[in-house]
Amino acid sequence: MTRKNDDGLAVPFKEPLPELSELHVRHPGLTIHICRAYAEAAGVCLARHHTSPVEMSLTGPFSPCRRQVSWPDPTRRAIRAWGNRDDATRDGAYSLSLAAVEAEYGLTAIARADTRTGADFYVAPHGEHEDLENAYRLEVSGLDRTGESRLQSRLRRKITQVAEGDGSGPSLVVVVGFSAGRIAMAEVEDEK
Amino acid sequence: MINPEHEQAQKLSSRAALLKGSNEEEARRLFARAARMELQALGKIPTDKARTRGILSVSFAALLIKAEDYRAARKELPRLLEDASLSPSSRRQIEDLLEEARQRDHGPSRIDKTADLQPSMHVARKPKS
Repeated sequence: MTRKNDDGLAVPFKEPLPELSELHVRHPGLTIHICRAYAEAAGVCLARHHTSPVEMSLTGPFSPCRRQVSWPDPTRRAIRAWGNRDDATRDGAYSLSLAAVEAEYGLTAIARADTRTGADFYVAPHGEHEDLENAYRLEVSGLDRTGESRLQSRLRRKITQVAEGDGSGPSLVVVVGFSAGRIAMAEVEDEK
Repeated sequence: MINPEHEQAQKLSSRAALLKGSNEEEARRLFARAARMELQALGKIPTDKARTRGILSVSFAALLIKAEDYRAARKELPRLLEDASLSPSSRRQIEDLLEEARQRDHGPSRIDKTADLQPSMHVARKPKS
């Protein structure tokens, strides 16, 4: 089954993204509370622009595809609780990014490690969960309202930032565009 | 899972993060507990797992800052920096956090439970030249 993208090209329509509120079942680096909070944030952000379900367009080092994502209608309380748009966009992007790397790469979050401003997630294939030596750091960026040009610009900037890092290891960069229904991904090898 | 201590640290930190903005005192207390668990997790990581040790070291340092326990951070972070296997990225982040602790440490610790931080420190010392 295929759909046409914005350029008129046919792209395959794949299985839906994993249920956002149940990621913790397969992602040991997520607690149930954090998983549900991120999923709620994703629902609030998606509901600003779309009605559930929506087909999101995924691109990266794999064949472009579309995957459906669904979410419950956010309650008024949830919308108020996620009134800080920056926090909601960041945490909602975490939820969709973790679902996307599971769907496209078979990677799941094995650790959440704190940083000064938040936390980094580390993802690895099932069975490689004993340490972080070969895990990918998940570098996530969310955009509430964006077009393709700004989304690609943000992706390039994040790739450059990660590539110019100083030995933090291999990373997956994911940019989520909520209004555009887009998830753009890239792999960055840190060779330092 | 890396080890049960890291898993517990994650859970405590996650709970603390969700309390930020509504119950700051409890959030700080949970971040402090998470820091203690992360230090125990770090103590169990073999010295040849440099990347894992670096990531957990930064996490421990960040949790102390989030707990606003700047006194403990000033005491503990220099010890982390003695780990010769730290990557430049981890070292830079810990140095930044130590500098922040130094700038903010103008009074008694807001968390009074740091006495048990020390025993499980196992860092690889820099080789003497």
